[in-house]
Order: sequence, then C-alpha cells, then structure tokens
Amino acid sequence: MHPIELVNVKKDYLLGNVRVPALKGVSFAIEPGEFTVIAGPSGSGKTTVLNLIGCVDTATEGDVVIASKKTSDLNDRELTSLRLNTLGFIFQSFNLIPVLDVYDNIEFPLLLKKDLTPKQRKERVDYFIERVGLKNHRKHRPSELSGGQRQRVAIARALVTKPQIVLADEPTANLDSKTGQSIIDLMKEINSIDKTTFIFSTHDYSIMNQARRIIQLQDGMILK
Amino acid sequence: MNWILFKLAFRNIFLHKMKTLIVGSILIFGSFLAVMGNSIVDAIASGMKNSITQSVTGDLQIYSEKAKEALSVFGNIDGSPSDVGYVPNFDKVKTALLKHSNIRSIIPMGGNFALMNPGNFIDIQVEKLRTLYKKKALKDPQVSSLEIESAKQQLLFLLNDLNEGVKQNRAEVILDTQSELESAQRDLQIALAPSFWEDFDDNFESKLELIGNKVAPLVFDDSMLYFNYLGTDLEAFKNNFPQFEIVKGQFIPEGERGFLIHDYVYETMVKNRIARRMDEIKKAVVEDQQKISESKELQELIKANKEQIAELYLTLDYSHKPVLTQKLKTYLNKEEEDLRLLLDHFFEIQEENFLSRYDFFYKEMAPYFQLYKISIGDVIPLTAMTKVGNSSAINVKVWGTFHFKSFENSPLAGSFSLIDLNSFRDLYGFLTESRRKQNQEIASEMGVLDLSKDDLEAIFGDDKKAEELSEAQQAQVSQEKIAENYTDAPVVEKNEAFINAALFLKDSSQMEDSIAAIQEINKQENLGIKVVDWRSASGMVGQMTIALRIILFGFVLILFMIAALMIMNSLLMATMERQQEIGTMRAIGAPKGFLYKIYLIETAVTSILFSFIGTVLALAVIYTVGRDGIPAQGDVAKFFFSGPRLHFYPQWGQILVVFIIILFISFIATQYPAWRAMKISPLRAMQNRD
Repeated sequence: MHPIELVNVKKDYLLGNVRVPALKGVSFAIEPGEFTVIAGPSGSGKTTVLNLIGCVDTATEGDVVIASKKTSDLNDRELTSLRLNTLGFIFQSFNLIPVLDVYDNIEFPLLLKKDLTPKQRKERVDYFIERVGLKNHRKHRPSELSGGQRQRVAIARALVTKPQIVLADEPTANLDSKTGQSIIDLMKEINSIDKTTFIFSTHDYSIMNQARRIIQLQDGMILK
Repeated sequence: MNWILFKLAFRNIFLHKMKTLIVGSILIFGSFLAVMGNSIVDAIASGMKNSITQSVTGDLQIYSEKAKEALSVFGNIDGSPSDVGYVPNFDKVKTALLKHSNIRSIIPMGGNFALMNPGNFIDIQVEKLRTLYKKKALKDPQVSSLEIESAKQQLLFLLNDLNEGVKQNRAEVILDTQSELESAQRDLQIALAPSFWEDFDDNFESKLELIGNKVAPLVFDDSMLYFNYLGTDLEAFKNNFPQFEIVKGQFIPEGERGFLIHDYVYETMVKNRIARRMDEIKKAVVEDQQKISESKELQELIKANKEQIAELYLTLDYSHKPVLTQKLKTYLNKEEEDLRLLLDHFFEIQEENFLSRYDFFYKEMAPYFQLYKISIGDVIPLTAMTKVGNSSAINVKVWGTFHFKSFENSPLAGSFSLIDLNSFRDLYGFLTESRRKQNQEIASEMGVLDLSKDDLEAIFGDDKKAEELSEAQQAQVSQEKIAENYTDAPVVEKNEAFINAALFLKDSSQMEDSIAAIQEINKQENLGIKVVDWRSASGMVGQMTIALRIILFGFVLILFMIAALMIMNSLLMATMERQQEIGTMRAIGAPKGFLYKIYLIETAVTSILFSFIGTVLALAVIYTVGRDGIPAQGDVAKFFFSGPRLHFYPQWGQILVVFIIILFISFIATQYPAWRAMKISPLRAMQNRD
C-alpha cells in the first residue's frame, strides 16, 4: 500500500476567464519511507503537486490518494484531520508563528491533536528540539534565530506529530548552500532512522542529486 | 491549550497599539460612564423618590376611575391641574382599603390653584381704614382714634407720593385713555386738598370711595398672587410626611380652617421684590462666588431695584419716615433730606458696598417696611375655579409657612401650599355640610342685601351717604361678612368627596403586590378608584429618571457601538495581515473552530481588560466623590438629590449588566472578521512572503 498515489491528476487554474492547465495528467506512487524530490523549473507544477498531496488544494480531475484515502471524498474537517495526523509541512519561508518561541512553535500541532498528556507532550517536544540541535534556543522567538535555525524549528514542528509523510516546498530556497545542505542532511537522517516518507520540491541540482528518487516535471507533465 | 490562544490574542492587541489605545479609551470611557452614570442616576432616582413620596404623593395615589386625564400631582405641562374628576365618599374608600394589611394610611387630597389680589398700596390702605371705621362704629374697644388718625396720615403720605410721581412722570399708570387719566389726576388734587381731610371722619365712606375708585387706578397694580395648593387632611398630612416642617407662624390648630404657604413661595412670590432681589444678589455673590462687575444678570437686578424703589417706599409707615431718613443720612453720609433720593443712593450697589448694604437693609431698614404682601395671621381672599368652571372665593387665614426638610428651597417641592380639606372643597365647589348649613342660615336671614343695607345705615348714621353706595358694594360687604363667619366654621367633615389620595405602605418594596391587592378590593367593593404608583402620579417629573437613564444608556450604547466598529475594523485588518499565518495554522491542521476561538478571546481580552479599567476608575470615583456627595447646585438639584448633596454608591447588578453588554457587543463585532478568517485557505501558507 502506497502512502501517496496520484492517478492521472489534472489541475486547471482560472486566470480571469482563461483556464490555465497546471497539471496535465500526472500519475505516480510513493513507497513508504521514500526520500523523493519533485524537480522542475518554475511553473512546471511542482508546488501544485505538493499542494494536492498536502490536501490544501483539490484536483480538477483524477485521484489523489493519501494514506489510502481519496482526498476528493473528504470534507474540510476530514482534510484538516488528515493534515494534522498524517502529514507534516515544511515551508519555503518557514512560516513560524512569530509571537511563539521555539518550544511553543514546535508544540503547537500537538496542542491541536489533544491526544497526549502534558508530560508526554513535553518529552516529545524536548526530544525534537534536541534532534534539530536547538536545545539552547528553546526560549527564542523566531525573529531571534537565523534562517537555518528557523527551518530546523519548522522541521521539528513538522515531525513532532510523527506523521507518515513530510512535505517540504523548496525547504532550502531561502538558505545559503551550506545551511541548505545541513537541512537536507537532517531530513535524510530522520528519513533513514524513522523511516518517515519525505517528499520535497527543489530546483537546486546539488540537492536534487541527493534524493533516492526524482520526479521531474515540465509543463505539468512528468518527464521521467 | 488555552494559554497559546491567549498568547495569540494578546499579540494582536500589542501589534496595533494605536488602534488598541483608541478602542481601549472608548471602552474605558464608555464603561466608566455607564457604571458611574448608573450609580448617579440611581441615586437621583432614589432621591427623587424620596422627595416626591415624602412631599406629595406617598407611595401610591388613588383617584377616580372615571378620570378624563391621568393624575399628575405636579399639574400638567401647562401648569393646570389634571382633570381627574373626584371620588364621592372618602370614608367608604378608606375603610375598604385599610383592610389590606400593607396599607399604613390614606390621606385625602386635591390639587387646585387660586388667585389672590391684595390690591395696590392705595387700595390696601383704603381697605384698612374702612375696616377701622367699621370696627369703631361697632364699638370695638381695640380701635382707638389715634389708630385711625395714623392710618389717615399714611393714606395722605401715599397720595402725596403718588402726586410727586405724577409730577415727575415716574408714576406707573395703567389708565387707558387720556380723559380717564386727567380725571384721575383731578381727583387726586381734590384728595390732596386740606379741606378734603377736614371732615374726613364724618364722610369717610364717600371719601374712601373717591380715593379707592378714582385715584387708586393711577397706581400700577401687579401684585396678583398665584397659589398652587393642595387641599388635604392637614393632621394626617403632617403625621405622614415626616419631612414636613413649619417655618414661620404655626400649624393650623385642630378643627380650624386655614392656609399654609410653602416657605419657598412665601420667600419668592409673596416677598417684596426689592428684598427678593437683594436675596438673589447675596446668594450669587456669597454662595456662587459671582462678581457683580462681571455678571450682567446681577447688574440687571440692581438696576431693577433702583427703578422700582416705590415698591418699597410705599410700604413704609409714614410715621417712621424721619427715623429712617436720619439713619440713611448717617449711613450714606449725605445731607439729603428727601427719603426717596436717599433710597436712590442706597440702592446704588457695587461690588464693594453690597454686603454692608445688605446687612443694613435687613437690620436697619426692613423693620419699617412691609416685606411681605401677606403677613402671617392675615386673612386673605382666595379665588379659585370650581370643578364646573365657575369662580369661587373664600377668606382664609394664613397660619404660617412650611417646607420639607432637606429640600427646603426646591421649587418643585414648593410648588404647592396647603389648605384644609373643607376650604378646598368649598373652593372646588363641593357642597360641604357646613356650606349647606350656612346657605340655610343666610336664606333664613330673609334677604341679605336689605339686612346689610340697614346695618350700614345704622353704622353710618347718615341715610343719604349710605344710599349712595352701589348695590354691588353692599353685596360685597355682606359677602365679606359671610366669608368671615365662614372662615371660622369648624372642620368636621372628613367623609366627603376627594380628588385623589396618598397611600402610605408599611413595606414600600411590596408596591406591585399592593397595587394588585387594591385593584382587587376596588373590584369587590365597587369603590370606583384607580391606583397608580408615585412615579406615574408625579407625571413628567416622575418620568425624568427614566428619561435620564435612556439618555445615559443611549449615549453609552453609541460609544460601545463605535468601539465595536473599531474592534471589527482592527480585527479585519489583522486578518488581512495574517493571511499566511492563518493559512499555515490551517495547513498544519488547525480546525476552523480554533481560529474562531482566537478571535473571540482576542476581543474578549480587549473588552474585558479595558472595561475593567473603566469600571475600576468609576468605582474609585464612586467611593471617593460618591461618599462625600456632589453638592446640589441650585434648588431644583436639591429636590432631585433629596438633600444638599447627592451621595451615590456602586450598583453591582448594573455593573454586571454593563459587562454583559460589552461582551455581547464585542462578540457580535467578532463574528464577521472571524468568518473572514475561517474562509482563508490553507493554500495561503504556500505563498511566499518575499
């Protein structure tokens, strides 16, 4: 059973009255624990694919199946629950909540899940803070952190709910190459130890080459 | 997770400091005003309740169920008494109602107004002299020739002054035509001739008639007095209105008829105008710290006093003229001999000399003048409209003046004087038992006019002169005689008609229940009455606190609405700014309800925080200022405050209401921005900030 499966997925956007196809029939499946890159130039449909997998957008045609659930069959509440329990998100511009410190930002999804005791929550957050190497920054606000540190917080936040799938939209785009590499290393490490499925988009070749599998997109279609 | 919600909520409060400050200020001001205003309005309401129930209405009022208008004990807007008909049998109503255990007492009442014309100075003196002659003819041992002589001199004094006035063109003449004026002036010269006075005693009636009918109209006559009065069972009134207090004179002895003038009316309407203006200036200067040089109003008063010296001068007993002249010469350090000119100088009042002159006026001058148009003990003729619209007149003795303690000078509590119930009934045209008897007696005296004519002839000893009296005058004399007797008729009838009645309850908090009980008794015993509470009975005055409250709440509500709009605006702006953040929260699994809660807490925190500050400020003021009380500015305020100061206390129930209203309004203000926030797609999270 594949955690992610796309079957002939098409996605059109409306630009005024003009229908612009973003995906023209994309099909692929991701194995559990895979570390996959979606590559391609700007406008090739990378982000659209990630949005559909992340259940923040819906396909115009075709099926998107996440953890055996066809997303087109789910209502808003079920999609929200799927995002919370099955998916983890890492954003290009980190998207941390500015008023919350490192610890609170990481704990945030656990508070939404409501299935852990405060003690369990603390243990879980502490573990991931240590895992991303921010033990000494737990009381810092995002504005007091460097870009790399912020992205580590975002990774911890994405992982803290122990999701089956972690999605990352150009996670290194806003980082220098050295920091970007350390983030990729961290993701790879987690992938190999926890067997979490990673799927991320990038147009950076040096990063692309480190992935086990590359799905190359162009003009809304898979090249190879 | 609540603390995260709070953290998020607080963030927005600090993010838009200016907006928060404005919204906060409005909320602080609004809640301050609501809490404080309510506390003050409540204090005024209870003060007014005290003032009204303790001076006129009692707890409840009853009146005829056939009334054409609603009862308003303070009268209609135009000042006329309300047309409420009457209830025929007081005793029956009283007996029936006293069966209800919560009713302590019932006091019958009736409001009406009467006019009294004391006449001008010359009229009064003519009348005084006429009475003296009459008494002397009846061999009254108290009337001496000396007294008559003195009264004649006073009349001459007044005529001389009038003549001076005519010469100097300062007489306030009201005669319509030139020929009337000339004829009156000719008559004045006749009256001033020494020969006129030589045989005065022998021909007093014709001479007095000449002066009274022909000369007196030269003097402007503006001394008509208007009395609003309440006819009531005076003993019961005194016993049930504990703040009632006699100020001058005495209470009407039991069984006597009489009139008690409210001291406020006595001091403002009955008092000589010059003296009244002196009092007004003193109050403004001493109590209100006003400066004569800066106040147009005070300067007007001083000017009016100077122009109307005659008002004072003509009440002077001529025999005191030399003493007063001397006193004023010394005081003013003038060589002037003319008392009028001295008075002219005296009333040239300025900042520096006012207080000294005020003291001198009351200590040294006042004893020689007649400071009130009616003296305590006088028997005055009152003319009123009866229930069917005729005019009716009686003579009644003024026993004294009264006020209600703690709102002594209030024009509202002082809007009526008191008269005994029987005199009231007579003026109102009810046929009382004593009136009936009187009518019979008069009828049995076989022709009133003939009898009095005979009497007069016997008195005058001169048939010819007596025949010259007009029929009308003779009728008047006999009418006066009747009225005099009539005034002495005892009060025996307490079981007759009444217009309205005040009910005092043992427990006034049970007002609603008592009203229901009275209505039940009314139905069962067929009493024909209607019952209303004091508020309704006091008409416009009673509704005033309700109006005050509506204005206050309206204003506060507008403030809160403005605050709500600003809250909404600020939340909407924040929503626009935080689209990516909201999208992120949605993307990582926050349900819509979570966002809604953030918004709700955010506004709740803002509104609770600031209205709490406003409330605390209001409470601080209430505990400090309210405890000491706000001084009543002016006499009307004293009535509303029911005392010289208004003390107010926190009204916890209403503070809670204010809080609930604020929370409700901010809850409403949150809905639209929260709805907009919930519509934000998680896709927003993917849009890069840069």
